[in-house]
Amino acid sequence: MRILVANNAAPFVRGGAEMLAERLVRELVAEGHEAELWRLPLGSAPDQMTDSMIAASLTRLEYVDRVIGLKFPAYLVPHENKVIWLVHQLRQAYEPPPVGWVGTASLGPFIEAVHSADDAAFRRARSVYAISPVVAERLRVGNAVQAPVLLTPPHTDTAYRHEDAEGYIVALGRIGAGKRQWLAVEAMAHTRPGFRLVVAGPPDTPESAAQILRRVEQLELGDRVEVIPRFIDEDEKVDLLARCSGSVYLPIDEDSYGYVCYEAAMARKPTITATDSGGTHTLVHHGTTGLVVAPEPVALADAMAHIAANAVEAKALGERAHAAAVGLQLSWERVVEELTR
Amino acid sequence: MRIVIASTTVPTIDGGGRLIVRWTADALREAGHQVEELYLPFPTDLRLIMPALVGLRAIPLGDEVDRLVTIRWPAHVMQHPNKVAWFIHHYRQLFDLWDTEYRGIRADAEGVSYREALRMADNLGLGESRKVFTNSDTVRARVRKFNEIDAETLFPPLGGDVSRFYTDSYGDFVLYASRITPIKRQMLAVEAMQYVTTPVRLVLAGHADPEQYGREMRATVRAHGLDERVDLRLGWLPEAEKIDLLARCLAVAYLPIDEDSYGYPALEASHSAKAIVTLKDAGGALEFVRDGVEGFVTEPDPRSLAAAFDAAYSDKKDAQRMGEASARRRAELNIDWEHVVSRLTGAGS
Repeated sequence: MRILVANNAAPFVRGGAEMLAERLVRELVAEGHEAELWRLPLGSAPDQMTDSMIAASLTRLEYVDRVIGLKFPAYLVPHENKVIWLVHQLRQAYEPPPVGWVGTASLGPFIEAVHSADDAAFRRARSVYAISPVVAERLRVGNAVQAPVLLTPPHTDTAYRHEDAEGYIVALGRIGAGKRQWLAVEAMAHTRPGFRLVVAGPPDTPESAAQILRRVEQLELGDRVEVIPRFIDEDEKVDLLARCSGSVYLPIDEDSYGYVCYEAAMARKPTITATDSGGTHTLVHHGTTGLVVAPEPVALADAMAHIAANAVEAKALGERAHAAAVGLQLSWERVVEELTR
Repeated sequence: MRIVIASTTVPTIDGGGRLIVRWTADALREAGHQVEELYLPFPTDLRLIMPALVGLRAIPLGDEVDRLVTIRWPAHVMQHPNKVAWFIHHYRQLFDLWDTEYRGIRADAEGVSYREALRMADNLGLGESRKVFTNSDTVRARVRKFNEIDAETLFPPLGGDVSRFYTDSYGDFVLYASRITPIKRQMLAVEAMQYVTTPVRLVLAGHADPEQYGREMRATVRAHGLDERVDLRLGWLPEAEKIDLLARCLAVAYLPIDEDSYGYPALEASHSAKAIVTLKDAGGALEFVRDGVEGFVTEPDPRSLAAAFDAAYSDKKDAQRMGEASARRRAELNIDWEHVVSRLTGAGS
């Protein structure tokens, strides 16, 4: 089949969704399909996004047997044989602040346009899958669409390692407001010395790295918090995970199960996440595979100190996290089979 | 500089058109720029083109982009205050092919309206660019004729590590390595082989498009009793084998009909220091090859072509001299990535 994978793009920014889309194309090609990736810039302000909706809606495809749409607005492209594997909606248009835009009267028509374009696209699609239970629930609430869940397999084939804990909690992922690394830093101010926090990942903007570094300095945590504000390669990541006591990952209402949780689990380490972190609860169950606590510094401080101080318990949580991750039965073969059905 | 290179594609169909984009992106990165490549699906059917043009023009590049470089038609209708167009060709059936048998569109009210509409779209997209480059003098002349816009020719170099090409010897065969298809006129080379008087041989290598054409070619070779003289290698030619053939051949043949630009086969010959045999109506190749300097430019008939093959075989020293001239020709025409990068990033800023 000749397949076009439709995703959005932000020039010069690459995150998990881009890697997911590229991996999907490779898997489709490996199955004998002719597959290609289309990345449509989304823009950042509502007027730019309106233009992007127009661009998607007016794109005309020839020699394409199937479109697999991942993100707004690329999946608005007209095609009679379209399958949507929804990574997420344009959440700014569906949710209250801080995810959603702070409402102004002029935003109303734009938000309405997003909803009606989405409704039409989901209705006309041959099928709609959600990448996680969280996204399926948002589809149900936002668009009255019942979408089966098709979890995203990891986009890398990394071999994870497990070693004895060396007394630090690791916070991986892009550094930015949405992932709340700052909360873990604040929490450290409420703990006694005895373990460290390592924050590692590419900052969303230079300012997001500067903010974290400034806060570490203000709290005089320089000797207990290490910030590595850059892209870390697979080897570094595997190593950081292998030797940690546990992982802390605090996104706001994450779309998917969170690769960061999955990676910690594959290294047989527990994850500390927040009650409002959304998809992370797929893998992190309080007291079983990790700890789920309120998104505030004191509760978080207790959880981090607990994991760091109780190696035997942390190891048991990590083992069960590993079993849970394997139990998701993530398989590209199955994803390709569903999306090309 | 943060540069977006945008080009259009026909998904799952168009392979070759991406090379210039990828190579340009690589060269810009090499020069220290941050580059994002955007490949945007665009239809070929005229009736689908109008809405798609509006869609392309609507694409928001956001605030992080310092320069937009557009390549394949009609990416130049995209909007950016600091846009540079590297124009490869028009919607050919409506412009340079309009007065030929290849038009394929009726010159009725609808066809004429499309022609006018696309002329206006091209004028808009090119007119608002800080600078318009073309990939050949041929296309530059067309832009002047159809759009009344002055462009600068910026010849596209061969990408990747060109040190892979080398020169081994000046052997006894003429090589024509390209997609085997009617507009490349490999058949003319086969027919020429009936008339050669020296032991010169011909190697034709490439993927036949359509496949039927490859079978016809094989039948013609057999019918003329040329099996011993013509080595027909149908199918995709591995890069290493091509480089080896280029290194050992006597000269390279490149015989397209009225091509837009000089074509990568001519550049490959140049990188292997080989003379190029081409025809007076080959189009862009004539911007690179001058008769008796970088190779032979003959009449497009089998006997004239045969005479050129014989001449190369009879005087290999002369073939070598022209081959060395073809290697020097790149520098004369500024065909190098340093020049391309400096023009694409410097102009108008």
